[in-house]
Amino acid sequence: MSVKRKSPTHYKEQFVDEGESLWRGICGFQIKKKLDGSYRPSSGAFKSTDLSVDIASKTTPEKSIRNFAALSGFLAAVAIRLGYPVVEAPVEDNDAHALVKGKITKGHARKIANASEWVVGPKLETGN
Amino acid sequence: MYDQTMTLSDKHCRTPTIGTLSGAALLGSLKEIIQLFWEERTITYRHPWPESKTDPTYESDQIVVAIEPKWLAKAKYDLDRIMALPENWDSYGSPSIPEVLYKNAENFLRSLEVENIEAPFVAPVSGGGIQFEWQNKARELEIEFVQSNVFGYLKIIGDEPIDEGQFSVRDYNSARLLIKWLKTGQS
Repeated sequence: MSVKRKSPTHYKEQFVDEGESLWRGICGFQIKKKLDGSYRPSSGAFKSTDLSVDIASKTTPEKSIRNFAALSGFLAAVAIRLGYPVVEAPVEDNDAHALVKGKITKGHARKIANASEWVVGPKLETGN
Repeated sequence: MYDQTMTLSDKHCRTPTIGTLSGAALLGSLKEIIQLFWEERTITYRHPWPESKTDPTYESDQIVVAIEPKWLAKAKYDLDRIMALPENWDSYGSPSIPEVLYKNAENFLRSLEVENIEAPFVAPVSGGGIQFEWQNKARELEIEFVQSNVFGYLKIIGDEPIDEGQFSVRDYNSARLLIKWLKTGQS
């Protein structure tokens, strides 16, 4: 079944290149302290259908951090090679917004979490 | 570590509520003594079993001390914190955690009450769910509650996911087997 697209002024879909960095805001409750004392995001932060992210080349850490406790980043290639296309999906106040399309499984969410690095790390004692 | 010297059963326990013990009740004739060692606490209570329903002490003996392992108390505390998260708690539009998922998660924890384990890391899941994470050296176990009738699991070894699936929320035996895998590596 074909999908009628809206006019370009209302809808735009463009695939994000594998080499792009994607940023995902992390809530304080989703930051876990590892055995070595460092912090990592819980895989629960990446479990979603159509995961919202920011395209790093279209924004700055100061803009993307918003109210999040931390900002994590991973390459689009990680999601794409797991089978999730990444498409640009700008919204009213965020031209950098994109979606990792599909329902991310438990194992894949963990792989994305493992592959992510802090763009803006957690500053305080957070999580449990 | 704790050592439970006797399994609690209907024969030995009354209603699990906190009550008062009169001096007379403590010193009354004993049918049974149960000692429970839990973590570093030792709770001793006597359970005078009435000879008959006409026993005058029957109504006055309300025993019970609710005992919870430390790990379970902490996990429930963390769970309650997650439940207090408001709508859009992650700024990505995630709703508050539904009550049914809280109940399922709590029951899951309770089914492991006698296990000697550490408290899990408790995290909210984007989209409105709950996740428990345990780690034992290289083995990790993630348990998620995002659907009302099942819980999902993910086994990890050395940071690599190796197995995932789901069970009915009432399948407490599978819950214990997952914990056994976490502790021993055996399925």
